[in-house]
Amino acid sequence: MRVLLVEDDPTIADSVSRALKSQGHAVDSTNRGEPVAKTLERDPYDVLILDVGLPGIDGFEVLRRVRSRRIAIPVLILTARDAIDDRVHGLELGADDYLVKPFALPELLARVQALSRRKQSKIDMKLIHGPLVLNTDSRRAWLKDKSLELSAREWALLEFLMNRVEKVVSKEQIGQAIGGWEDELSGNAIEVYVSRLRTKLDPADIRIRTVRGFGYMLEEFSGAA
Amino acid sequence: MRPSLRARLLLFLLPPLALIMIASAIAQYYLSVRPAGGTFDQALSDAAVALSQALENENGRIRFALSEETARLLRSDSTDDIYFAVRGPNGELIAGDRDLPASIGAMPMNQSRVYDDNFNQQKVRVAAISTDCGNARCQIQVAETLNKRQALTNDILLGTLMPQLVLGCLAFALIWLGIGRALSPLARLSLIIDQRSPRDLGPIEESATPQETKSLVTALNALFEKLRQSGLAQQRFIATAAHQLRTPLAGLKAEAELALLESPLPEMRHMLEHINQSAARASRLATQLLALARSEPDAHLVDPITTVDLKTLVEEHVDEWVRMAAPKNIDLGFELRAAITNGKAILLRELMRNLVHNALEYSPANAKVTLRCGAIAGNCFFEVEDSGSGIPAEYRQKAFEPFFRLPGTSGTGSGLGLAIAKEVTLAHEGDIEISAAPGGKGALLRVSFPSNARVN
Repeated sequence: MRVLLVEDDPTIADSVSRALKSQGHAVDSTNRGEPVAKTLERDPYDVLILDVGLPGIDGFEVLRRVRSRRIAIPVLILTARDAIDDRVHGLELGADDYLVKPFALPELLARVQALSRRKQSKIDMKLIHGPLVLNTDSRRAWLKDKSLELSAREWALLEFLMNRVEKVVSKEQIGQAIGGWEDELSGNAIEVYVSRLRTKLDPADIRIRTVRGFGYMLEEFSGAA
Repeated sequence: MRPSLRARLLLFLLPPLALIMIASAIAQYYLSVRPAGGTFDQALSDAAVALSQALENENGRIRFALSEETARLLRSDSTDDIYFAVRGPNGELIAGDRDLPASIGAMPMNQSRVYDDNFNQQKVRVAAISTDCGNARCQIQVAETLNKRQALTNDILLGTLMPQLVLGCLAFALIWLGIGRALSPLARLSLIIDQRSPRDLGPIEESATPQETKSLVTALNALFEKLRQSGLAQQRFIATAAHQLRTPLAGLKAEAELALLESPLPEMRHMLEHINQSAARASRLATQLLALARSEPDAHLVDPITTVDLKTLVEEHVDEWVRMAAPKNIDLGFELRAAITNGKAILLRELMRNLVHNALEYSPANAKVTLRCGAIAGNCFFEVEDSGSGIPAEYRQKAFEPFFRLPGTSGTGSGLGLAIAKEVTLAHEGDIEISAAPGGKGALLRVSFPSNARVN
């Protein structure tokens, strides 16, 4: 995978690019934002890692230019500011994810991995989570290479969760996403579907964490591969 | 003792007032008692003259022909005793009381003289007259005791001095009140200063204070402004320092993590993990110092005040906190309702983050932590309840002091978390308190804000 890193702090730029390289990625690094959009048009990159606080034009401006040229590359924003407004601003401008400095390097690697996987799944029409594979084109699911039977609601719930690994989703979000306009699902109904999914996924060590009073989170798969 | 302005004013005003009153009383006395005494003297002289009419000279023999009736009339006085003596040319008593002392000194003819004397161990007023009796000069004295004079004096004293005294008291009361009224602007000013929050270093409004205190207010405002400026400078310094610290710390952390990823040696990994944790703690500390600087008054120059729903702020952090809770398998729960207030979102986030981090940090594995927010009767609240070992009552106040640590606890926290929470709460005119969790086990930290908080 080819990553473009835009970061003006030499220490961080160096350690991030070395870490990515150690994972087998190709990394190009720059400390200026101005040439980024042109570079992306010329060369195909898989992920853009973009620092907000750059000399010259800032990360947001770079992102605006990239998106205005209709370059659909996944973008991970790095911000030193702890203002969430920055994150929101970045996401509104078309960033796919954000990390606040100081970040944990393994987390950055995981996020980059997730971004590229998301991009890949759009092409392959496949969602993959450890031993679980959802083919969104044929609408068939496999667990440990065995076909997995899912009702329409269970499918919708699982697809929703797999697109948001390690992200807490509220019951309201789930209800709106899988219930549709007419019949928004009640909290109790959602609990029933989650419990059925757990029964089916538990043998493969796939965990859906309950966030009491709020919702659920599909945990990163950490079981033995 | 502190010099009192009121006491000084009284000291300047009261003695002259008292002197004037005394002088006026003395003048009153002389002006009214003497003339009144004069009237009685006149009556006494008239009596002496009347007695002189009773002297007759019959062929060289002097006779005093006073009828019984006249004598009775003369002596009839309800309040005073009257005495008289008639003496011949050689001082021999012709009639009257023998012991009444003769008048001393030469007396002009037919003119009465009135003087004080003693008779029968009593003070008396005497009217004496020399009169022609044949070829000789006789002397007549009429004396009376001082009872009615004393009564009159008493009446006059009562009649003039009492009003004088009442007047004096009234004047004193008026002066006292007047000074109080005149000093009330000062009292008001001190009340205004007293009631100021120590976080408020804005100028005192000059239009609200009287002309006389204007220079004082101006001086105070200048001092406030200096304090505010030095506070701002200090705040900017801390903010910049904290900000500057974080970038190299992020580099250090990234470097350590990279080494962790690359290093296969277990002892090395151990050390690198420690470096990594220390860097993480240092950068957390920098963030907290930044938050402390931001919660200082006047920081609104930096951060905007907006309408904030605490529920939204919590929801933004659900991911982060659930992930933090996961390693210790802490059951993190949410009971969120709309909780709208005015405030600085950045600070309120830091406040919540500190409370939640504390709960997650100090709770044992498999504990239960519940976050709640909502609104009750015009106040909105945010609370964190845990099922940890709780905070003993004697430490609940101290826990808000910077760098305080519960004895016997070991954590990676800086000890600034609750201090920041308190600062931010104060800046939002809120209350923060620690109590025992309703479940009986663990602590409950509750922050509440008035929904229309006036943030400074």
